Amino acid sequence: MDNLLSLMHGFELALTANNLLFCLIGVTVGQIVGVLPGLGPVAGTAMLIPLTYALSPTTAVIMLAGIFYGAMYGGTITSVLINVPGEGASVITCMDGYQMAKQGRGGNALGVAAIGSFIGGVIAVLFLTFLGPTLAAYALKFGPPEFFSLMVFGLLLLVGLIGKSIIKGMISAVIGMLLALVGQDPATGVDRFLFGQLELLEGIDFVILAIGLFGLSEILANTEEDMNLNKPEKIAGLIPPRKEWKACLGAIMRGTGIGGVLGLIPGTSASIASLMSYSLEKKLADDPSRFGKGAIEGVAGPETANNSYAGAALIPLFTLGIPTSPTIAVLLGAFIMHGLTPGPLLYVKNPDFVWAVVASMFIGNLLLLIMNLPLAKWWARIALVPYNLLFPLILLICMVGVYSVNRSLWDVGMTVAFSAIGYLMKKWQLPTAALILSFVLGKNIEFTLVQTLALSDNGLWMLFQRPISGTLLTLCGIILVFGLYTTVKNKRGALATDESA
Amino acid sequence: MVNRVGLSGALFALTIGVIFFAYSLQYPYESELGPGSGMMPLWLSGLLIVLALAYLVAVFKGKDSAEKWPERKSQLEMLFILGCMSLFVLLLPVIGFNLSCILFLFAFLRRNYSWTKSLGISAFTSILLFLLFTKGFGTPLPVNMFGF
Amino acid sequence: MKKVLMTALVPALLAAAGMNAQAAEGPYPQKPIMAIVAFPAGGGTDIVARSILKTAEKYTGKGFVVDNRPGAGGAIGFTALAGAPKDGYTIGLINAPTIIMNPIQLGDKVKYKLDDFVPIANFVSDPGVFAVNANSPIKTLKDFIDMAKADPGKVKLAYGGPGTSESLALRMLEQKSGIKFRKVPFEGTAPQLTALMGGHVDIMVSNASEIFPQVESKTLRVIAVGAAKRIEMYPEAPTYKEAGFDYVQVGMRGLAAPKGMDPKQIQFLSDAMKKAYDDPEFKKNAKELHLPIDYMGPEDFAKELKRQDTFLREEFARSPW
Repeated sequence: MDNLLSLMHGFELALTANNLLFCLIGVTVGQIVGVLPGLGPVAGTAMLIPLTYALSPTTAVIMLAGIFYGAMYGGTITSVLINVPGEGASVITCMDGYQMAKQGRGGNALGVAAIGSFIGGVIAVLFLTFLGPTLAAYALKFGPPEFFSLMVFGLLLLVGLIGKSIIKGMISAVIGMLLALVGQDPATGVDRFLFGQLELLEGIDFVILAIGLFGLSEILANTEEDMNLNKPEKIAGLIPPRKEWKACLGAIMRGTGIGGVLGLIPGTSASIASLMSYSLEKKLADDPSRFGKGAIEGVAGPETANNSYAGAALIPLFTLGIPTSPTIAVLLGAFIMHGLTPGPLLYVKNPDFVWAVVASMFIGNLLLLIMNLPLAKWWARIALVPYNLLFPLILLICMVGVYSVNRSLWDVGMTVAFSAIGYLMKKWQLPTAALILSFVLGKNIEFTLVQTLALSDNGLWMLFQRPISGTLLTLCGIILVFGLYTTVKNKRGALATDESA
Repeated sequence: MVNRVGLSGALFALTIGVIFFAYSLQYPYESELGPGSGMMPLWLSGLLIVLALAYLVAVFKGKDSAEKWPERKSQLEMLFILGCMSLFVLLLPVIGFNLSCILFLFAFLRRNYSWTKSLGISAFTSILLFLLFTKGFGTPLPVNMFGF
Repeated sequence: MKKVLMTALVPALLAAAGMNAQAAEGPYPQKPIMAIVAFPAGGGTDIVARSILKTAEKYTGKGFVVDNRPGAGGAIGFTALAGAPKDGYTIGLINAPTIIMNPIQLGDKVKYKLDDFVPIANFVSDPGVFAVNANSPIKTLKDFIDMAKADPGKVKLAYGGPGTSESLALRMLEQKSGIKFRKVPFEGTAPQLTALMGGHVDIMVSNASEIFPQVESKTLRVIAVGAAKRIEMYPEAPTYKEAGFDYVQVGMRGLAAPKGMDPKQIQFLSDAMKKAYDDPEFKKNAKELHLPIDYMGPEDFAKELKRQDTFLREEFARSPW
């Protein structure tokens, strides 16, 4: 009850004209930043911190939260409309979202993403409100062994999503992981695979792969078709047709659950949440073959998952002062810059602040929804712009976006190279999604493996000895065995173009 | 029937595997903690080589399903796009952001629109982006010796 | 048609003219000065830079523009500073010992030398800290050393990975006390905190400013501080030396100019920075950010950098890491 009263009080504070205004500004600016390819929530939020210097701490953080959510949603917009993922979690959205846009159902995709994100975000924030500290303590039980098992689990899910050809999927995934190894080795600091370029010391940036392999390669592929013939008849509105509602709702609820749970655990990433949601939806669907061709649940679930992940991720931040991902770390930096120290004391020292921010999360999500319901249709109309005008602009904005992340021309050059590679991979039918997801996971896997071995008294057995980790790995084993069994049973050639996963 | 496209794909995968494998041999296999810098890359690239060979086998058996290469027209178009992008990257530090953008956009737009319209759109977009990033986001962009 | 042309070209020309910054005659600085920060926006160094530069604006007349050039552990940004125009309008943040360690560790992959910089002033000296959970049986650094002696390879410590300044401190600790313990690398302070608070490791080593929230809320306890004297932030924590470990581990962040810049300009800037440092606005800001501030003028800063450089080179020559 106490918490509820505080929350009400928080709403009161958040709903002042001033705070509302800045929340709105934050959400809008965030979306603009998110829509610009290359500037994901991390870079965007970081760049906009200076804007908040002049504001009171509460207002500043409300605005930053707005920017954060807005940027995430902006990333969704680009994923759906031009196949450029704004951040790791949006890669999954590209898979079905972009197909939907090509079919003229882009508005539906954006709509269901907005609604799902709203629901997921709100429920996660409710978690935060009422269960915060208790949940956080539990999450600390996850240590490096658990993370490693979680990553392996994620990888397995990934390969399971490939569908057509296991061998090709694995080739992509392995290349992705090899690319993740470029840079300094976590155990000994030896620099690997630099090929003489110092710029690669910190590894290849996600943005380069996302834009090159996804967005730009798409444009190259488009040269083979007459894009003017591809215009969809009409742009579907925001609300998906009735018959899809039930499916969406289920996906949204499940996505909320997945994201909410994973968000609590420091060290995970939103990509895992959306990956798991997508896998789940595909497994549960009546007709899994729709996935990859514009299945709306494939957008609804993951998008909800990554928003509820973001909301839940604030719990460790507020209660323990630990950021769970780079994006949250930027928020942490922002808090600190305004003199607020997250941690258990935050609730005690600045209760007004905490509840006002929580309330503004609700409001931020709501604003996003309201803003985008009418806007989605307009965004989707981009598909109607003459292609010859559109694609050079996209090319340019993508390149500038990449440049702005690290101010490095080398990055832009690599992006151009990857766009060619991405195109080739399309031709060869090597799935690019597998590459980029395993890249994201790969970076963590090696690290956590090294840490696990450093912590363990008896090598890799530690992974099985601990309850959480052991359970996860057993699950992996079961999935593997089951998968092999099905493949052998069907006796299809590994490279055939069949539909069974 | 060997699918030529598939063949290049398999060879690509094989080449990457081999290159990484070769480099991995240079790094220490073990370290005091267990896996050294070389262990994981070695296994992964080894796996890649095996997979690529499997791919190769399937290609020779005629079972691959890669798409066909595009026609000449598309190839030229793609080279044009890649060429312009590369040129943009090279010119950026030399002639500055605004001019590079304008040139880049102009090269594409000129093919479908009139001189003035192309120039106008190019200039407008370039300046918009420039202001957005430098004044809006506070991230400096390369400028040439004239200051833009 | 002509109208379209005009409407597009006129603003283009005006903008070009406007952006054409003519350095007219007059006192320095004539226009905003660019400050290169070798780390990403929002990070520790970036925060320090923006904080001091904001206050320094009052004393220079024109403002500063922060130019983030992250990458290669700082090497990209430092190289950019070394090669920057010496016209007085580009300076940069330098981090010790990172800027010194890069050329030593990476050899000729790194394209700058310590001599390429002229230090202007140091602002922050963030000492290393050893920290444990509040309820840990380890109460002092000696306890930790004893534990490690009793059962080598059993005590687990979290740190930022090889090549960081703390890894060097740990090496020294191992050598001087003759102990061995398990070092678990992490990719940043946040995962270290999670591991420590979750009980997966027994102790961690990091920088003072980075664990302030947890210490303040009494979740963690600092058992030793790497500064030369006790620091204001953690008054009860003994220094490394007091605790029996004769070593100083401090992360410094200060401003420097590319070598060859006009000494008068450098003097002007260092005076402005001193005033900014003493300004209550900066002090207040630093306190809110929990930054352990520590001013060093150009000569002191230069001397300290040289000292660290010599020391690190000797160490590396003796046993490279």
